[in-house]
Amino acid sequence: MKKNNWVRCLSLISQVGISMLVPILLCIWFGAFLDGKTQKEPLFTIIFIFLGVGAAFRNLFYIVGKEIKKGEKRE
Amino acid sequence: MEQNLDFGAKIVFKLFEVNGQAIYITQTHINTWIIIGFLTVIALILNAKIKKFKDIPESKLQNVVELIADIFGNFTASTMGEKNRGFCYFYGPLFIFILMCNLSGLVGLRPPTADLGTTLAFGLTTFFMIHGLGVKAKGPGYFKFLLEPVPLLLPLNLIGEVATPVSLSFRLFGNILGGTIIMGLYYAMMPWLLTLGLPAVFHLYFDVFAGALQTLIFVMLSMTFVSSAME
Repeated sequence: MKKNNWVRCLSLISQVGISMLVPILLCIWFGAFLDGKTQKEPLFTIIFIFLGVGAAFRNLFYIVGKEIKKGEKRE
Repeated sequence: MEQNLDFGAKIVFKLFEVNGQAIYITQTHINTWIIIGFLTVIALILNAKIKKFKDIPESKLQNVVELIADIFGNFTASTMGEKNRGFCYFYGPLFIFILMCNLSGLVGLRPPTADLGTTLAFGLTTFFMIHGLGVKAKGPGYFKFLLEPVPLLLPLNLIGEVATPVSLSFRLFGNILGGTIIMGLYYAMMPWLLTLGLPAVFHLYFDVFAGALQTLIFVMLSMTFVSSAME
């Protein structure tokens, strides 16, 4: 298990950052797209920014929480 | 400075048109086929030689082939658990293919992984593997995780899950495209004397180091996500 632990840690650390960024950007894009379609600027962009930020925190807790659980199991 | 600084995949020819939308064959397709052809030829040669392999290795080739197979097997087993060692037959070739794509910049090809189409395909494969194997391991109850910790969080969980293949593909795509652009700029902006020998150092970093590291990270994350879904 220890052999490739550094690769695993490196992957997960960099994944935490990008998995917080992607939902926010995806939601901003989707909100702006819906605003363009419905002419209700900036309603959907604001709603989806909040959803994106929420999803970013969810991803953070999901990835870190799973690793903490795995670490506890190993101990 | 008059060189072409367009870093997108160039269109080779138009294949056909559907409802006014043209489908093109680009550099990415051609380079992917070249890499597939190269790997297929190596696989066929090795397949012919493997038949002559003995139980106790006598040739260097057998030692090398067995070493590579062992490395992939052990890497998969240490990441996904011993019971999932069989996944090395998927992740081993995937690793070699992505690595070859990333290293293809060294021989003057535009890396296929510098095109979002290629990396998104890898990301979506992982996405379907995560949920397909999750359902296979836990049954339809697998999707209960979308309602956890409270059902109100369903939209956030859905967005979070959709973000997984996107983040996987964007990371690989961004790193390789970044290297391709920097090398392209270097060759375009430097006087010809500085394009001899010195770029080898940059290729070593952007193609070999970043390429190998990103391959390793992609495969590792894919393994981690798939094995977590099955646990």
